[in-house]
Amino acid sequence: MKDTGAAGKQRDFSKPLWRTLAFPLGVVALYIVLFVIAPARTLRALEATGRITLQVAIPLGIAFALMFVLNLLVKPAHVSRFLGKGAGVKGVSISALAGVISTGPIYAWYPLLRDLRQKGASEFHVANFLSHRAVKPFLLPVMVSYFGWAFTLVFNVLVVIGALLTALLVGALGERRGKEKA
Amino acid sequence: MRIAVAATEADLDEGLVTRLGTCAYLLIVDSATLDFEAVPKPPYVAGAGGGIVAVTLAVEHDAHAIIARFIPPRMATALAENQMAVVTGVKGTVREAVRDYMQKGSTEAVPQPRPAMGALVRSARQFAAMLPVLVGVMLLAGLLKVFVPAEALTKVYPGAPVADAFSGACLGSIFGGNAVNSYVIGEALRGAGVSLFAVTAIMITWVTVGLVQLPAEMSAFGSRFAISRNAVAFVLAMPVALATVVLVRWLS
Repeated sequence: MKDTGAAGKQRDFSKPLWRTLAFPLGVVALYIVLFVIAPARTLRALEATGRITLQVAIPLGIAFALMFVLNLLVKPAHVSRFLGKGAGVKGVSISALAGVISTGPIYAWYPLLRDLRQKGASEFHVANFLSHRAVKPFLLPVMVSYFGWAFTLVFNVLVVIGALLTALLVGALGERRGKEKA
Repeated sequence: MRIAVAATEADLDEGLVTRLGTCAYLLIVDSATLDFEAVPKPPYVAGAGGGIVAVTLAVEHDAHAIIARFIPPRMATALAENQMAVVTGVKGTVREAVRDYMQKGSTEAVPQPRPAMGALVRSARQFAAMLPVLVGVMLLAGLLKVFVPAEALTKVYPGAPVADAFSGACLGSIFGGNAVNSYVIGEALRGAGVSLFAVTAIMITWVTVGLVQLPAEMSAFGSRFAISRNAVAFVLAMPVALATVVLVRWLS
């Protein structure tokens, strides 16, 4: 038997509730202060917020529907299984796709990625996963409503290329460090 | 096959705890040899949080099945959905529980998952988690539209492509989080006259570079990896932003 003591090394990457609420509550406090100083302009700012909310409501509804479909078809276990194996073009595609379809905050994925890294996943694949999180299919309706189809298409294609380059460079730097250590 | 058992002691001949979240040890037992690792669960985590920690430990140690006297149905369903066998309602020692499982399989039926409802609940949770910050960002965008004069923004973003892309990349690196927030801020900045070079760079680095999350990333993957990944992503964000705007203008 061996007592690993692994639990003692567990690290919670999740964000506490107060940190999630701190930003919106801070903005509300700012509104209250500004309302005391300049009530008319603060009300205009609230009206502007109302217009932004209306503008984003329908695309967010579509985003929710796409999130539902993704959650129905893709489970976290699929992502971890995909990321843990595969090499060459297949491995690159899998870690990129896993990054694209991963949902939720980035820190929620740190324990899994760290575990995969310890099990042999390369720095390239971890960087590829993290960089491809910039492409979010379920948010495309929101982006199109704000910036149009042409921008959305070009932006996402170039972000994918940039993500691959980032992963290649980070992977190369990691390999170089490994060789220097050896 | 590796089986995780929620136990009171680091001993195969001791009993199982009543609830998964209250276990002192998670024994990772090799079903063929009955060799085991005793993984202590942090004593300060109990209740529902303790259950989640125990499940995380089981997954981290490559367990294919988890045995406890009781696992809440919702957690059992989620585990079953993720291809981990769940065994509850067992009695006796850890050794007996593992032997019984290997002979009979699951001793208590796990409720069948309802994929659509599970996906709906998961989506609702993700959406709800995103909303507080999104509401804050929309309120902030309203303030930006009314209180920040366009002249002030054009001083920071004078309209020069490279300088704007750099300033935008800096701003996006400081903030961060869900991409949708960067769209809202980006649109508000566009409305105030900030160039698309800057807005595009903000939107790229908002998600790919995270100064706020850097300590957590360093802790997870090591400082060299985290710093080099963020630095490379920051540097590449600028040419990607420039190329995006040039291509979009060329297309239209």
